[in-house]
Amino acid sequence: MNDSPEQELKDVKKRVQQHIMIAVGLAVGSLITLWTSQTNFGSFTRNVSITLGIAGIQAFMVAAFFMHLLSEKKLIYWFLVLTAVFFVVMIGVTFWARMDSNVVHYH
Amino acid sequence: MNIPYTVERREDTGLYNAKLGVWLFLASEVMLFGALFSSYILLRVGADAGTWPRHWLDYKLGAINTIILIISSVTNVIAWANLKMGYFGKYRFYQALTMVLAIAFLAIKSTEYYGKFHHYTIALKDGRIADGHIQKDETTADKVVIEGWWRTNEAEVMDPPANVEEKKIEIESKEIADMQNYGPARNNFAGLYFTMTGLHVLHIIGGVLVIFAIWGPLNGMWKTDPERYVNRVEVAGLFWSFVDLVWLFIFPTFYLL
Repeated sequence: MNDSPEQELKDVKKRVQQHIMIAVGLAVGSLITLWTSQTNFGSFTRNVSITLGIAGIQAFMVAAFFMHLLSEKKLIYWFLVLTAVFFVVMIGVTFWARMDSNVVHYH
Repeated sequence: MNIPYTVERREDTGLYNAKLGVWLFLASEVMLFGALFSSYILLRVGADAGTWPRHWLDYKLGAINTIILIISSVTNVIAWANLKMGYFGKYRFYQALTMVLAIAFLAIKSTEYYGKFHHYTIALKDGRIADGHIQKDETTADKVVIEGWWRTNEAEVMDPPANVEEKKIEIESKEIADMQNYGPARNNFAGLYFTMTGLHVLHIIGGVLVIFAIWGPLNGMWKTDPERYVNRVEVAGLFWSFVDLVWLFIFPTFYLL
């Protein structure tokens, strides 16, 4: 990334236009989410996957462009990778505990 | 005392300290909201069929709030960009817009909360179930008046049929076996809804207070140390975008699925 003030100003101007486009994309994404939630895709699991998939794409757009993650330093990526690992472990352990529960019904 | 690396970047991290700090803070926030989403998934997957509420929330209000937050993220970034180019007046204008949008979001959320606290399910002694918004002006000690519907069973309360017209229902107090509102104590869904959206609302309030402080009382720094001031605006903006990002998951999870 070029850090000279002139280049930085150019980058900023470009970013503003980009952000407006991204915002339009996010708004359209929200409308698509509304539509998918009202549409039957065959099963509830499929509906959840599609709806949350769109939300994931929107979240990526916010992080990548509004939070400038695409042009961020490597160290931030490492922090986020570490966070993702902890997050997956947290959810994984929770579900593992649930699947591991051994409920015995006595009649 | 001079605080180091408020403007210049550290050689080892390549970042000024506030940015590093805010990203670390956001990482902890991911874990906080992640734990709550994890609880939501676990409780929902574990709920018996027909016991998890659907269509309890007004998706139109949720969608309007989504658009409001998206626009506020854009105005926030445009404000920062203008400041970076030296246009202080434009920064002030766009950041004021961000704050107005944040207040609009909070106003809509308050309306939703108010509606939930005044929405009751009333079980009658004869087994009938009424469900609707209480009419405070007409409700007395002897009778309860609601604008709502008769429900045939509990499953219908959990997933109300669409397009059924509301009507006024008057119930004698002595006929009531039990009545409960749609507050956080109602069930797991309501508890999680109020916890997660409430936590999100606290983030909105915190964010808008910081944005306001930088925009108003602390804006003298623009004259004394402009680069540091721009950095402050940037890190506050990072937090604001994160708040938007969290809502992008809350909206479909609670309002649509």
